[in-house]
Amino acid sequence: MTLDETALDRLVEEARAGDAWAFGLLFDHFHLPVYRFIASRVQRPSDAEDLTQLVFVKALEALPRYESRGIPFGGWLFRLARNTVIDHVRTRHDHADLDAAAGHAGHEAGPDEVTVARQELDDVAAAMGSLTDEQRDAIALRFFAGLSAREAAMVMGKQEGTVRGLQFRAIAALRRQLGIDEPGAGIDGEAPTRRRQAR
Amino acid sequence: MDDMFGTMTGDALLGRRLEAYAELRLSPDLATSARLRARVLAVAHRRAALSRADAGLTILPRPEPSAVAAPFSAQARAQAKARRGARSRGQRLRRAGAVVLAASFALSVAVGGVAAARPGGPLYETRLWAETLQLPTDPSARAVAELDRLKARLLEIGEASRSGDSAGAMAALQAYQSIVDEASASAILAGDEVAAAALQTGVGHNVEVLQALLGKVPSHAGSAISDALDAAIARSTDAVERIGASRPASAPGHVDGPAQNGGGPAPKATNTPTATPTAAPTNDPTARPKPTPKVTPAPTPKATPTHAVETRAPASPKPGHGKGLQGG
Repeated sequence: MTLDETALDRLVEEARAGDAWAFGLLFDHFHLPVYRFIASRVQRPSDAEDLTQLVFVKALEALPRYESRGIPFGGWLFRLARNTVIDHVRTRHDHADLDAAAGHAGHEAGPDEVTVARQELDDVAAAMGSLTDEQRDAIALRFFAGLSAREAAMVMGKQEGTVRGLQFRAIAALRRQLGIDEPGAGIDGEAPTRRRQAR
Repeated sequence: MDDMFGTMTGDALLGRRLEAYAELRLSPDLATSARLRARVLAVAHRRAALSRADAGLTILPRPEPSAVAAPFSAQARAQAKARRGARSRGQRLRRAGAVVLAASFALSVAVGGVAAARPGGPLYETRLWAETLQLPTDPSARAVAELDRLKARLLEIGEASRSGDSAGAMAALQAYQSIVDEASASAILAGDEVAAAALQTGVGHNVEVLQALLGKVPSHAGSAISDALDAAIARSTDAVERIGASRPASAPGHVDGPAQNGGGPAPKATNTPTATPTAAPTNDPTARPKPTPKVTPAPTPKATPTHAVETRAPASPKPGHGKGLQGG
């Protein structure tokens, strides 16, 4: 579902007023990118499910206090998601999860994976595990959750240029890890066009 | 995701690999999405109901005359306290009983071994029974808890099936069917819209999981598991249809058949549909489903025989949303 900024704002207002239906539409719009962002940080699907649920329940509770003062709802929601993940990692001391992602313990290949070389996915997981936390956040927010550099910067509480730098270094590291040839000029950190034009 | 990278070959290749990784490793499956949606919306609906209650717009039990007449009298306070005491005593007893039983069960499992409580084991039935003691009484919370139990059964079915444990798979399948029956009957009886919606969505997606399991039954496991899986699929489909049929046709979001792919909006309860006609369809992605039009009998000024012709009132928009998304 694609929603433009105006429709999103209206849904947020209605959800703030206690409209469960509006919140359901917000959930439909954001749950996939939020889940992907969380799953990229915790790896265990059951944790990703629990934390995604927690993020939306927290959002529901905090929504009456939400005020859009230059922070779009998406940015606010992802900030909640990022803080929830950080709390989870801190509490569970499972930083090792990502480092052990190469083994991907407990992951069972679904039917879709039959057509995609499983090894390739494991390699990407291992390469992601080699990044720093901030680089991983930048990649997860930009590419898995589909945020713009500005939105990712807002979520991470950093300058946009800093996020571009993190992204640049992360991509270079991923290329090295995955054995993908350097293209030469590299990426300047700018996404030429946005997948989610509406945002 | 390709568009986030440049046009250079290495970037495009990395983009494709990250995209495949996100798609296959980081995306929730349909069942997960449906579970998440059902749980989050159950909370949202409950909060909405509480807000409405706060605003004095919803159904609160009518205060008893004595309490209205003398709300501050010592006698009324004593009576109310006694009533609360009787209710909470019952709840406390029930809770205490559940705790004792759960503790006994935990002890017996510890003594007898965890294996005994596995599907097909001698304590499996006891474990299932103990689970029912912990079910919440609130219908929507109960529906979500029942979905969790069903999820646990599906995991057991999958494990037993993969390991060729026919007895275990059959026991878990039997338990799954019982829970589906109990949960759907309970939701229908309670007439709770949120519980019905949650179960309809969750069980609908369980059908897909069961169908996927059906395709993965090892050949050495025999046809009994396949037959039992077929029976569970049929029972689940039947439950979804029964729940759908039990929900008022005029309720928005009333669906016939399995859930809406986990992405469809949940039904919204409306109490007083207005009769403002809306003629033009809308392409607005946030447009709410219109309530099924109320059937109003045609006026029959004279007692002339009719051919049971019914006129349908035009679909009405959701009440309270005159400012609606279309209208700005």
